[in-house]
Amino acid sequence: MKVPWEIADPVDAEIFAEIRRAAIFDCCKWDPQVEDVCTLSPVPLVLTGDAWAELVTLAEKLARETVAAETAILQKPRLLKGLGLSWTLRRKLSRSEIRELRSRHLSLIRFDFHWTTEGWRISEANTDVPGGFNEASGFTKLIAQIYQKIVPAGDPTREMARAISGILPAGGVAALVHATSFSDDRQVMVYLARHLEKAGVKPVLAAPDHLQWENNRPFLRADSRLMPLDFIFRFFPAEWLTALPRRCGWWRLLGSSDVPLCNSGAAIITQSKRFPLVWDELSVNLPAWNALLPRTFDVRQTDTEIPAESLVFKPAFGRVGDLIKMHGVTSEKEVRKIDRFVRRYPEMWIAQKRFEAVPMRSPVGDVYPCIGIYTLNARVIGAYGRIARRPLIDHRAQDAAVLVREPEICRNQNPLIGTNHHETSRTLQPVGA
Amino acid sequence: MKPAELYNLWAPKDSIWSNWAKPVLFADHAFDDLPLSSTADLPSLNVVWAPASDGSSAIVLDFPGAYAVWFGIALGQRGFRPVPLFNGVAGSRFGALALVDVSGIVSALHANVETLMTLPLRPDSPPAFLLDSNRQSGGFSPEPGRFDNRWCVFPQDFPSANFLLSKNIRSVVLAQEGFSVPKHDLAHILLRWQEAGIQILSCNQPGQDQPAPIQIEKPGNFRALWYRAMVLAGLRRNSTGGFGGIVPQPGSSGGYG
Repeated sequence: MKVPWEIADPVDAEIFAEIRRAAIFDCCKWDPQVEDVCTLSPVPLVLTGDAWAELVTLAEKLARETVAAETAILQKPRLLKGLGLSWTLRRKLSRSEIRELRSRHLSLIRFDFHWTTEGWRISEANTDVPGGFNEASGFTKLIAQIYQKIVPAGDPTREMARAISGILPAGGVAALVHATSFSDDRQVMVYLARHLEKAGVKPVLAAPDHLQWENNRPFLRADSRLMPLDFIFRFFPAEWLTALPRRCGWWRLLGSSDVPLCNSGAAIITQSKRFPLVWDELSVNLPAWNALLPRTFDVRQTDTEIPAESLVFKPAFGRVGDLIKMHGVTSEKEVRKIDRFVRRYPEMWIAQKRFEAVPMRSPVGDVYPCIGIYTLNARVIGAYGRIARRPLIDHRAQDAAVLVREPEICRNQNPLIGTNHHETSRTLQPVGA
Repeated sequence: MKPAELYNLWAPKDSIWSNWAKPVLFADHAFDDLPLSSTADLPSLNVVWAPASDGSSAIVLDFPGAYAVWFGIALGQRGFRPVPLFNGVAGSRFGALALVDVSGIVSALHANVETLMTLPLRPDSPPAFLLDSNRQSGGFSPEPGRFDNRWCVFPQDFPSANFLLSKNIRSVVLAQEGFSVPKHDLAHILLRWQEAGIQILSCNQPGQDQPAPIQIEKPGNFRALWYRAMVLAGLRRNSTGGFGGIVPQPGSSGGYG
C-alpha cells in the first residue's frame, strides 16, 4: 500500500529554535514545552496531492452527515439519553427553538484522520470545541516557508475570521468565550482575536459568566455597562455549561441565541463518542461515518468475536487521549483504573474496534501521524497535524505542520485541493539544507 | 523594549533551562496594558541560605508577586539562572477585574532587566524556578464577573527528574515564606523528583533559616491519569462563578480537542 505522505527532513535545529520563538510571539503558542519535550515538531507532515484531495472529500462528506445527524437526533430527543448527556443538558436540548434556529449558526468541526492498514480512518470528530488553530495556521506557515514547493494545507484561522466577518455587520462585536484562567485556551482566543481584528471584527475575550441575556440577545457585562454582542465564538465545552450560574443564561449557547454562534452547544450531540450507538434509530444515512469510524459498541454489549486486545475503550467525553484503554499502549496500572470506571459508569463509555495505524518512517524515527481536518459549514478550511511515538495521540504528541505539494495545488487553482498521483515515500529537503 | 526582546533576555537561547520559561506574561498584552516601572525596584534580600551554585542544586522560589522575581535576581547574583514560570494571563481588556494581580511581577520583570544582564551566569548555570504563590488564591474572591486568571503548575511545566539528574542536579531547595510544606500543585512535582532520588530541602524563613531536608507527602490524586483534567476542570468551574473546586466524575470532562 502506498503511503499518503512524503518524508521531509527535519528543520535545522538553529532555524527551528527561531521558529519556536516566532511561534510563541507571532502565533500565540504559549505552551511550547511539555516536561522535557518540545510540543512543536521540526518534522512536517507532507501529504501528496491525491491524499489531500481524498481527505478533503471525506471530511466534507462527514461534515454534511454530522449536521444531518444532529438535526435528526434533535428531532428525537429521547435519543439524547443514550449519548451520556446529563439530564439538564438533555432537557435544554429538547427545546424546539434549538432545532428552529440551527441554520443561523456556524458549524466548525475537526475530524481526526489516521492512515491505517485499511486506508483512512477517523478516531473521532471534535464537533464541540475543536482547537489547534495556532499550530494549524501560524506554526504551519512558519514551517512551510522553510521548504520548497510545498505549501500549508489551508489556513483555518484566517478562514474562520473571514466567515465570521462575512455574517457580521460592519464593526460587529464577537465575544470569544473561554475559560479565562487557562492560558492554553487563552492563547487560542488571543490568536483568533488578532485575525478577527484584521478582518474588521471587534473581538472581546470573555468568560461565559460575563454574558448577560435579554430574551435571546446577548450582552457582555463589563463594569456597570452592557455591550451588545453580534456573535459568540464558544471555546468552552458544552458539557461544562451546566456548572455555570443560572443567571448567565448558559443554555442559550446551546443554540437558542438570536445572534450566530460557533459552535452552538448542540454540537455536543456528535461530540459524544456514544453517537454511533444511536445511528440505527436515525432517519438519515451516514455512509461516510460508517466507512471511516471503526465499529463502536456499548461496553455492556461488546462483540464477543472481537478479542479484547482488539478493542479500545474510550470515555464518551474524553479529551486529548486521556483515559483511553489500548492494549499494549496503556500501562497496566492505568488499565486497572479505567476498568474500574468502565464497570462503575458503563453508560459513559464505549468500546471501539481498534485500527492498525501505519507509522511514518521519519528521519527522527517512526511516528504515528494524526491529521485533523477542519470543516466550516461542511467546507474544508485547513488541517492540524500531530505526531506521536506510539499509536495514541495524547498530551505527549507533538504538533506538526501539515503541508501539501505545491505544483498540484497550483494546477487546480485551489489552495485546498490537490490532485497528485500517489507516490512512494521520498525525502524533501529544507531550503538551504 | 518589546515583550519578545524582554523574553529573550529572561530566557536566553543559550541557557539549557530556557525551554521551560513560560512566555504567557510576555506574549499576552501584560506589558502593553499594565503600568511599568523603569527603575530597578530590587529590595535588599538575604539569600545566604542558598546552596552553592556548583550545579548540584536547583531552587524553586514560591513567593507572592514581584518577590519571586526579586529573589530570582538576588540568586542570580550567586550564579543561579532565574527561570520565570508564571503561567497566568494578565487580565481582561474590557474592564473586568482580574483575580490575581500580576502587575507587580510584570513590573519587576521589566524593571530588573538591566540587572539581569549583568548577572554572572553561564549557559549551564543551575536554575531558580520562579513561581507566584498567589497563583491559585489571588487577591480577590472569585465573584461572578471577575476575570479569572488563576493558574496552577503541573509536572509537565518542569523538567523531569531524569533531566535534572542528567545535569547532575541532586537536590532542590524550595524557598517560600512561612510554610515548610509545598503547595498542593507543587507537591506533585517535588514528589516525583524525590521518588527519583533527588533530595528536597525547604527554606521557609529566607534570610533566617538554612534549608532543611523535608519529606514530601503524597498529595491526593498523585500520578492519577486524570489529575490534569480534574484540576483544569476544577479551575474552569471555579473560573466561571466560584463554585469551589467541583471535581467532575471521571470520564465526564468535556470534549475538547
